[in-house]
Amino acid sequence: MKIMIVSGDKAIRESIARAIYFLSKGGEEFEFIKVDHQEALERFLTEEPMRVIISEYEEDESIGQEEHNRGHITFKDIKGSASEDVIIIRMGFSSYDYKDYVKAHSVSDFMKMLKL
Amino acid sequence: MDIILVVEDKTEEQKKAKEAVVGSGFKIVIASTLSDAERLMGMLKDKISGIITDIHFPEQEDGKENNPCGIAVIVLAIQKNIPVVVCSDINSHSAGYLETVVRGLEKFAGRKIPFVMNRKNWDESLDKLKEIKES
Repeated sequence: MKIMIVSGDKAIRESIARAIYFLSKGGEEFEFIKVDHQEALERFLTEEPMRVIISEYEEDESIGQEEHNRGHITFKDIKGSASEDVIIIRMGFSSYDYKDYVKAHSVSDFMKMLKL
Repeated sequence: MDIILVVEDKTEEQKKAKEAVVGSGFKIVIASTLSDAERLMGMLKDKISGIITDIHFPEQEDGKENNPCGIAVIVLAIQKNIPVVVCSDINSHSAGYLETVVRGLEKFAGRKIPFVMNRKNWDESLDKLKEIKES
């Protein structure tokens, strides 16, 4: 199965791919397509993945327009082009009630947990 | 890759357009504002093989007024030499004069810009786009 991972940060793309690989218990073969936001839509249209993970999702306009924080734009573009059987997950640090949204722990949460 | 850009701000109409376009074997990208349309045209460059645009939709995501931004999309399509079809219910906006504007742009473009008006008919718009592409 083709899985597309979209992030402006190469390290995040790699770590998500690695997490999926280890957590899937090796039952299925995956082909990971790891891209940044700029090339995401075009690669989605050519590669036709059935699963898409989009990080840096942020609706706050003050930071959501930043190049490294444009997950909401990528989500809108890919959602518009995708058929209904494609599963698209959005990820970010803010809190949203969408069923397809996963909230990542914020750095400040980590600092609190570490009592730093 | 045969990609059609649909410019339409209403979610329900976007769904209908998607059914028509994907059902005909094309890939679709959707813009709901003029700035979205410009961005997608810039991002996908020569990969967009046709455009179907509404006439009245916001300029930007937070835009409250529905201006006749479709005219700007037609001009951009002419500049980029991409076939374009207008799909709009202009009578609901009391803006029949827009057809005159589109006819003027048609002369400027040197080719037909079909105008499917009075109702949103995506299948008919797609057929007209195919006709232009094949001619």
